[in-house]
Amino acid sequence: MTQTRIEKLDRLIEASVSAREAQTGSLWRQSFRRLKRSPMAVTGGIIVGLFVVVAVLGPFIAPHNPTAQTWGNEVFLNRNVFPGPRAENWFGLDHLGRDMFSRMIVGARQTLLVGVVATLIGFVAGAAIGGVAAAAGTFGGRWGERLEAVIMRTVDVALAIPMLLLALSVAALLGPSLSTVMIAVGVAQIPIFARLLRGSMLAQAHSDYVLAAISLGVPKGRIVVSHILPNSLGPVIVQATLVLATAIIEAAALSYLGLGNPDPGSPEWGTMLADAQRFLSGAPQLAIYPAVGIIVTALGFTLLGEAMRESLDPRLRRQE
Amino acid sequence: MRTSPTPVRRALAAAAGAALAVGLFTACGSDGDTGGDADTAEDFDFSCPERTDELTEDLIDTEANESQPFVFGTPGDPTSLDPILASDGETFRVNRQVFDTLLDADCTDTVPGLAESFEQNPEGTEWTFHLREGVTFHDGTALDGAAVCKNFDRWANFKGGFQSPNFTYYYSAVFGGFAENDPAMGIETESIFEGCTADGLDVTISISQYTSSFPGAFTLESLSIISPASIDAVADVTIPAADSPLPEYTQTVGTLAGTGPYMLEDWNHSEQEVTLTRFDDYWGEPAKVKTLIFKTISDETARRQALEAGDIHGYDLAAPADAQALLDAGFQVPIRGVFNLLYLAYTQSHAPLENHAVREALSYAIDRQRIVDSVLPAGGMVATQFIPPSLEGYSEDVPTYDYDTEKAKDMLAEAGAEDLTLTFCYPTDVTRPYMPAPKDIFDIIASDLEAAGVTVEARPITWVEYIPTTRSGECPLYLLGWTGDFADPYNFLGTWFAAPSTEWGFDNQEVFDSIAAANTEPDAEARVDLWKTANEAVMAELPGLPISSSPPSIAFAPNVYPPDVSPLTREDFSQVSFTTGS
Amino acid sequence: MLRYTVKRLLQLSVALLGLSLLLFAWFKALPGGPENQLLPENATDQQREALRAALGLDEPIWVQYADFLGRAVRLDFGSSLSSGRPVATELADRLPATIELSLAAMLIAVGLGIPLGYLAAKRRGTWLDFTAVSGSLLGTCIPIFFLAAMLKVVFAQELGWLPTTFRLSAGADYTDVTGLRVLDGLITGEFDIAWDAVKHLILPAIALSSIPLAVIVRITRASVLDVVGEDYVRTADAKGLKPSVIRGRHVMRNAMLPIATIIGLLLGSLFAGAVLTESVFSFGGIGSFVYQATTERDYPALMGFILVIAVFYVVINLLVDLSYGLLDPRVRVRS
Repeated sequence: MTQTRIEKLDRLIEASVSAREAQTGSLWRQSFRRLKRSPMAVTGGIIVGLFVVVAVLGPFIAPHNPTAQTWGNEVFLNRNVFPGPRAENWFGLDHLGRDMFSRMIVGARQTLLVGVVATLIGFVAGAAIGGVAAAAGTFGGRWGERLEAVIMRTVDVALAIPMLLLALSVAALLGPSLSTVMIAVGVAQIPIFARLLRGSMLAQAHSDYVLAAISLGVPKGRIVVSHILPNSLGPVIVQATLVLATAIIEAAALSYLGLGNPDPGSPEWGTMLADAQRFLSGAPQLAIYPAVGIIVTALGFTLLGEAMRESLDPRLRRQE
Repeated sequence: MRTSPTPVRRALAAAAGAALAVGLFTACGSDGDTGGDADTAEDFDFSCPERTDELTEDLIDTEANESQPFVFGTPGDPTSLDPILASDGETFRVNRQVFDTLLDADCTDTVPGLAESFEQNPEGTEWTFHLREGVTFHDGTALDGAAVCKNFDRWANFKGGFQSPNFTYYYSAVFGGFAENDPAMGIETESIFEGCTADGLDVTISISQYTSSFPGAFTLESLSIISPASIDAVADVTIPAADSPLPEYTQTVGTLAGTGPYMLEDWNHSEQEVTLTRFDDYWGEPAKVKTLIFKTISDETARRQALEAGDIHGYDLAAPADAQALLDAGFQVPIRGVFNLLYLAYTQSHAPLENHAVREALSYAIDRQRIVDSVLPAGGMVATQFIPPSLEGYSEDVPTYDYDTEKAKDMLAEAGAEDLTLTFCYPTDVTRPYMPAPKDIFDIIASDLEAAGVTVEARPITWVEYIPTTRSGECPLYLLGWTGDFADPYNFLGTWFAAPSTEWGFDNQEVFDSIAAANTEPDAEARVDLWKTANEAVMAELPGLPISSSPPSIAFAPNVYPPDVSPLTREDFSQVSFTTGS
Repeated sequence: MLRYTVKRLLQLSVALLGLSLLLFAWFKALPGGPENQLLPENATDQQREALRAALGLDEPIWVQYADFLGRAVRLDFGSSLSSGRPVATELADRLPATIELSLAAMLIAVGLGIPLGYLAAKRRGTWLDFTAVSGSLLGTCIPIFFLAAMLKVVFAQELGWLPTTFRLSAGADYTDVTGLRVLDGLITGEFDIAWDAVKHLILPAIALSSIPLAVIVRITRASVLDVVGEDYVRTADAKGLKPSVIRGRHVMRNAMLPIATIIGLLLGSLFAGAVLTESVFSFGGIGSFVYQATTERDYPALMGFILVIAVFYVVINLLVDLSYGLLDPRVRVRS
């Protein structure tokens, strides 16, 4: 995956630079118009929109308390007795006699939260590292260049470790909890964002308008903060959309490995899916509901992200 | 065949109680009062359910037994082929087929092993064993008293890393220490082993101080007897440190010889497969199946699927739901007796848990029957005290707490603890034989407590931190349990309530004294009553709520005759046979 | 070129050293001492203390690090807490299973992915394209442990077509040559063993191939699109060359370069997926070893694994970078 990621990142950077350099100003708007015409983007957008609505409204529209073991006496997990869908419980009961439908609806919020916070952690820390490296490399002289080289090689090594393993090491360190999952998945994204932002900034730094600003004597710090940084964020936002999907899936995998959110107070799809693996042959529905939720949501974010990437990529554009 | 152990245990206790009495072993014969169906909880024998099937001559599929390996799926790999270096169930399972102990266990009773009988002095400090005649090791040497002493002397004189509890946990747990304790290994207690003398087939083992671990400890798989030649072969092996790898000889077959019904044939680490082959000169009934394979399948669902697909012929630690599904599909799921205990601890250093009424109220709030009915495997039962019913000293007269939410609310109100908030710890990443699904059990108890008006703050902790955290008294409420090593109430009660501890946070001299009195009483009959008193004292204190005893499930294919299942999980696979038709 | 190589090597060793430091710090900071994994739950506090003392953690921290580093270089990662065997031996024992599984998964991914990606590019904008692209996106969105478990329930448990676990039927009498069972069976002429091994491989390999398959489809599609747009292909087209010649000589040959690189790198990345897949199928490779190490908190085993994988990746990345440098002078200049 490493190289795929790196290549994609590089391509994204090029795309945004050429978009910037075209300096038509309307290019972003043009991209957006193209997005609206892409079936991928529209499908992804609808899925993501629905998901966000459910996540926000979930607790208000859920028919039952998602954590109350109201029907606890009807479920016998040691005998494979799991009441299925019925008028009162549309998706049936889970293994402790809680309403599955309500758990799904309310769980959307936690799932979104995990995805968003993890992505934010990766984004902020990654952007900081990448930004420092790029700034040092560009304006820090020889020592700055060395610093940049060391930072970036370490990032390369970190990028080389499978994301799941990185997340796993962090989770082992912090013990299982919801914040562990967010941090673990977030930390695993840091190298991606670091590399992306640094590459993006370097590309901007060598663009004509920055050279022009330097020759005009604009202070270096101001160039970085008010010109390079804002213009480098485009590809980062695209990447963040894609990372959100990954984060949701990784969180489920961490739960499966027993490092996930063990708090029964707040249903979350990844934990629900991992939990339900035990009952897969006796009561597959317990796994299928959260699995479908995760897959569809991840697909929504991926479709949206890929469509945004394509609409930015001039190489894909020109063949139309 | 399987019977309630009580009459036999009494006989043994009475016999051993008389000064210098000979340990009479009655073979576990039927006592005639447990026949019929065991459908209701009242007449179901929780200690050792009776076996109804019988292996008749015409059922044995000799051809399959000779040509086909019997494959048993285990949840984990064994660790060491040297029994003294083992302390986990998977290693015991393999070694049990290959090596024998001086005494054996049937159900939870102590029965003859390599020794046909034994006797003790009144102080319980000299144990004399009369060995069987005609026992040969796999390497051809005959068993005699000298061979047994050679084993005990080897253990007592272990040096260096061999002394670390990492390797010889059970030896030091039973005998306290070694002839010369290595300061680097941190063991400070003195060894109670005084010596071993042999006279032909008679062996006398002397200890400096009686504890109730004896004679049960002589059934421990760790204390299996290996051949004198094997001991010579590994005499030069050293373990430098407590975290050294296990010595090479424990990882490959061919060095150690035992006396068991099977010989080690191969241990394939990459296929996670241990192959055993029948020992034709076995002193007892020879094994029916020629080749026995233990194969590791760590995932419980995968084990079940492998059995269903015919890839294996049996497996251990079936998830409760799987056990029922397998039974419905025609597989055999014999139910083990219970020999473990799950409890909810009330750590009294956290107010208001030092208030007896509050502890009582919490105990009334919890629906333990629901846990047993919906989460635990078949054969599980609600516990009333801190030992399983199959042990001596189980008391019928302890206070009990039947589920009653209203009563709990009232009592809490009376005690002035209506808006009680308690932190409740549970382990996140394990299943234990006494606790197949910690989180489910936690969820159920937490919801019961909430119903009684208690606010529960969940505190999930990883297993590696769980023991130290709960030990230190940090958790007001926590789930924990124990599976017994051998038939000895001290193995349960003693480790918890022998002295004040931070994990319980109470100081009740009456409880401590009652346990000490029972533990040091060499007279077996008197001891039973002392243990009853101790159990009643503990439950009067109510340091925690005993929740359940439940057997881990074991499953077999329809076309095999399974071994007698054991509450100690000491199954003897030489009893296994493939069967014809059905 | 030589200077470039030396420079990259130096940078890499600094990075690896940094990584080892991070890993050591991680290991030290992990909660719960090993004595808690090694002893049963009612071991006395005194026994726990004894073991903790005996594990000798009272040396100064830099001595411990130097010791750790010195041992790691000699591939000595200590002994696994759960098996008591050296971690390096455990890893070596289980590596062939994972290699075999990864190769099989890659075979599926390449065998299906390249034709699909090519077709999708050729029919850009059609339903086939849409299906291939969204299908491959879907492939990356299914949690792999769920996919593996579902495959097993449907094809092994319910339909009974394929075995559920292991690499071979238990007790199968095979000859070990390379450790890859299929290959061994073919080499030694034990075709029933080879066939048995293939049957055991199919389901886990399919599960594991889902992500590389998705990646290969999309990379192939993108590369083919790229190449088709290049001037030399248009020229060839204008020259009136036969489509099959264009496809073979111009399009695929040039499109293969990025695809081949990706394949090499994906092979390494399959390890992460193998952790989840192997645990579902009890496949007995590195993956299930790591899964077990994770659930049992067997930290020496985990650390050994991470270190080995990191070095493995770094070396592959270096080789790829260097080969890029050799193939494409522009890279050298840019560096």
